[in-house]
Amino acid sequence: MHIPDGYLTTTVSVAAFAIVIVFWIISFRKIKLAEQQVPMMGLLTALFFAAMFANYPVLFGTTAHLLGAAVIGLIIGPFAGCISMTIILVLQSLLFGDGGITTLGANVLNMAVIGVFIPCALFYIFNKAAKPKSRGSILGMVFVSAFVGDLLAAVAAAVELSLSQGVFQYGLSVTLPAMIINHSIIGVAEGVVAVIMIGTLLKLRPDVLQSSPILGKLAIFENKTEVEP
Amino acid sequence: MNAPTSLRDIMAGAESLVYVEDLSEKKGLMQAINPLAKLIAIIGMIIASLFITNLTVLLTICVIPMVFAVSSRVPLKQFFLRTAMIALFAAVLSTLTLFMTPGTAVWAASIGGFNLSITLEGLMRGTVFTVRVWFCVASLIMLVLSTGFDKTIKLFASIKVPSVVIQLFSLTYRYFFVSVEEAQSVLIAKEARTYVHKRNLNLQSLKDLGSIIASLFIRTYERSERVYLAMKARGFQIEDNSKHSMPKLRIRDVAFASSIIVAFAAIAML
Repeated sequence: MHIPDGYLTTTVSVAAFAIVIVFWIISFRKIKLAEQQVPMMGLLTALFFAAMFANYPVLFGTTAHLLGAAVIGLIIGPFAGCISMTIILVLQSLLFGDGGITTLGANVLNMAVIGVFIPCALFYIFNKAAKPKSRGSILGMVFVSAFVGDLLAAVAAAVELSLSQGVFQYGLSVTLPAMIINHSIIGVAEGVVAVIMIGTLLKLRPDVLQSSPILGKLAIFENKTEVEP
Repeated sequence: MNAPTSLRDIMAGAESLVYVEDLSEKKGLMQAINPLAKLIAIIGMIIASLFITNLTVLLTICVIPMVFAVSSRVPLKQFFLRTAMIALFAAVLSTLTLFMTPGTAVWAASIGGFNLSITLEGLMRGTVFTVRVWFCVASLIMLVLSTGFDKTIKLFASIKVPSVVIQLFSLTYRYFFVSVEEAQSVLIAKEARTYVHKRNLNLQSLKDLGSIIASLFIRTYERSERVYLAMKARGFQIEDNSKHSMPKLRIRDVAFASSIIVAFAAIAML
């Protein structure tokens, strides 16, 4: 999903930067990083940065890697998650040349804003509406949130590419189906990994999730009830 | 016994970082330029290339990243390997353009009742896109290979990135290597218990990946508390940006950036 340089027009790149700057400012104001949180966020960002190198096979010999945006957002919250993902994307761009420098704004918009905020918002809404108590329904919500987040991030990338005609060759009629088909598979993988990860934490270290701004709002934590199998 | 694919991928990431650090320490043209001047010049080159539609001009400017690579003592094999994949992907992506762009047919065939034709205009459009993407990627790779992490952090400080963010970047970079080591031990332990990384996408391989990251997450979370206490005991506080002072822009840095910008602006306006 990383858009390299040369794919987007300057107008689209600048517009994307303008949007993400607003999200960066809001995220910073919201998280108010305390001294104690800095090492934790740095270490967790490093972990996800490393985890993103692990590729898994998709189709016809192609591979994909974990995006992790949904998991980051659900565990550490959307605002900290946005900053964390931004750091990962900047490091990927400036230390590996993965993604572009002029397209950094668009990549941050897709993966650190849409990829983080959408799963968090969906999970928050599902939780408010359903108040799940069973492990299965909680993980079901995690799966749907991660899947939709990944898919919408891909849709955003398709829109940005289609708006860049003149530099990029294809319109929305080509970019949208291509991204949706591809990310329907990757989104499922993303959802499964998110479910396994959060499921394991729910089982072994529920206290970690309890302090999460999103998962901490689950009824099982607020009412201190046991998770139903 | 081969290491699991995911371990090899993670190790390759760490090796790549070490490689970049080594190259950025070499004495060469790009390494000698102030990172801020380099960043401005490279962004200028990339933006200008977006306005160039003439294939000959694009092919000509592709010489510039190659000259940078040679004069910065970057092995050309490594340089082309790092830049080829994205350009190759762009070429594959352009395939449809060859058939979809109306114009003068240079090749036509009837396959299964469908009339397919490659047009000259399509061929030109696809080639321009691929060459431009290669140029952009090659320019960015030159910035990456000649800068290194320490200078990148100084660059952030010079463009007034908040100190807490710089601290986060530094910690992420430092603990990336710790995470790699930890991932290595987890994956080797898993392999010792007859864990086999599947070559095809299946639920089991995703479950394995999820459980590995979850166990690494728990270890990392527990470590972060110990790290904070250790840092605090050593007098940790959010550093002032002035500690990451970057060498001042010299005349040659300004000359480098401005000559690149002026030259590329002129080429783009041709």
